[in-house]
Amino acid sequence: MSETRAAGRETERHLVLKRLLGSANGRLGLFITLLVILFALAGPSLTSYDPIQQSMMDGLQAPSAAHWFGTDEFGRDILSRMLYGTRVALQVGIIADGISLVIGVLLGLVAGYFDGWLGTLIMRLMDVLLAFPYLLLAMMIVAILGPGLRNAMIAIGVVYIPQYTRLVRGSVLATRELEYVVAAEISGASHWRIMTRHILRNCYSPIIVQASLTFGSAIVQTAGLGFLGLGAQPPAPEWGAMLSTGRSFILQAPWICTFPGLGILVSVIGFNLLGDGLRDALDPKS
Amino acid sequence: MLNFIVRRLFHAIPVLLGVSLIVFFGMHVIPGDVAQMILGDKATPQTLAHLREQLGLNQSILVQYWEFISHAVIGDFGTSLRTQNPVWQDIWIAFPVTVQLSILSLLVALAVGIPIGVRAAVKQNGWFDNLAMVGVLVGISMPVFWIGLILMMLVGVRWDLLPISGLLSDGLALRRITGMTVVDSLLTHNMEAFWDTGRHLVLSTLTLATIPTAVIARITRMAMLDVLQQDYIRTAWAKGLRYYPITYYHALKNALIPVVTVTGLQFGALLGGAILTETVFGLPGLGRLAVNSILYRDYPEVQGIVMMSSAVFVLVNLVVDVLYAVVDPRIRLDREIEA
Repeated sequence: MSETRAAGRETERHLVLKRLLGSANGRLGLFITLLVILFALAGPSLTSYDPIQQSMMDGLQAPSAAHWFGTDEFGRDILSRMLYGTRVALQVGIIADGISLVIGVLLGLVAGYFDGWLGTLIMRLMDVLLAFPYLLLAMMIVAILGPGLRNAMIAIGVVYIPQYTRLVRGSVLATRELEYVVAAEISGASHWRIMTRHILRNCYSPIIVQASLTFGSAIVQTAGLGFLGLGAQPPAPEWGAMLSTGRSFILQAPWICTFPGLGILVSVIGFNLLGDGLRDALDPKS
Repeated sequence: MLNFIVRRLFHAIPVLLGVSLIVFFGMHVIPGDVAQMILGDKATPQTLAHLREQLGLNQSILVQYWEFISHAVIGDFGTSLRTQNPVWQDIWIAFPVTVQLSILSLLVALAVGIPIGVRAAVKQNGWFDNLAMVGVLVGISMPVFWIGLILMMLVGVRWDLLPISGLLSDGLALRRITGMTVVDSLLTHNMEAFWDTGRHLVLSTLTLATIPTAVIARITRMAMLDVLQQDYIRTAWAKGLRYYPITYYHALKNALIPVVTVTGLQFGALLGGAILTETVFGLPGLGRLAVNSILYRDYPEVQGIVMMSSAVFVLVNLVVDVLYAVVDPRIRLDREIEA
């Protein structure tokens, strides 16, 4: 019995992957995502330059054979800072998106399952969070916690909680009256077990899609905070902060601003494509 | 209709009350002494005591919240620690700059995004559609601050076509009426200032319009694809109407509803984008004000800005809700029956 079920799950996963790879967009999205992960993991071994160590003699050099992407005002190799920046971006995505996913899904489950006053309370709280303009809410949280990459990730994580909560609550409401859930209830399964093992399983697809799209958004928004001086602080090789300092040298050294932005753009395109591709692959009906 | 508006207004009150709770208590959960954090280690006991007095920190937390909310409803958020002006005054000066930039960008986004979406839908899977969808993907994924820097670098610096910062050239005077330079220059018949501020606003407007244009084009295309398949469109073709009346009159009218929704939802993102755009182009708007107050730990000003913007945001969403009813009589009917 459990073998057939496992095999069924295996085929389904296989099918989703096949559908994802079947669309050009899905393929490109997956390719870029894997590339980002590869650069993040292998980045340090791909470059011989230190991302932080200053070398004033080499300041503001244009792209060349020695420095493919040029150097910044402190003579640091931009390519090497970019590679380390990939690592930061991936970390931002995982942590910020992770915070909103875990908290948002949990709140959504509870709000949908206990549809009484508790559910109403949670959803009203989400309405309040949504009443703040995104970036401003993040900025306010940073104002409270203090500027820095860690707090910026927390802030962005909080900002995206309502999206997951609304999504999951909707799915839960649609699922909880289904016969198999009622059957589980009758056979004496605990609330927690029903929520996590029976209901949540049916919400996986929209959550996965949302997670992929939010991953990209979290990277842009955290870079935005970095650009404003509220996120990662120099000399950290974070793309937004790199753009922020590069701004002062836009006349003499335009390359400082060009490449980190491209890094953000390409990786976010990747996560968005992957999200769209996953949506089509997981739910062929829509 | 009025009934509906009033009901939505009442719904907004608890939301704004919730916002005020978060804004107020958010600033009070900071571990340690707020006054000490603001003034730093070099503060003398006297200045600390003075600041505590000024911020009302000596009173109980409930009294403080009451003071905050009862003043906030009339727009009084105290005195800025950084500029020493009343907070409302700083906001009053900065706000029109942001509003002007946001409205201009939204207009550009609608003017560009809707035709692109319509054309892409009509010629689905054609070369224009494919190109448009690539553009949409890039636009949606674009970091606004980066596209701003690139425009600045190319158009402003390399080709030297447009000014890259500020709202008016030095030496030009403009009487302040609304605070929106475009409006003020028209009101005072100051055409020189009108062209000058227009040139100053091109790059920032295009920058901020990038994402909404992409979003609006995408949603217009989706809505149009849906509508174009319906029977009444086939009827319109069958009775011999031409391309323009069918797409732009019959079809677009019904496709506009989701476009209105998304445009409204974009407003929150637009405000975030405005903060970044203002920083890139050195515009003295709400975003700049917010960043500076946060870096300075000017809590009264931060509270004022966040409360004000959220109130405006909630109001905009309310207007969008009312707009639906105007755009789509079916919704109006449903709601009246419901009521």
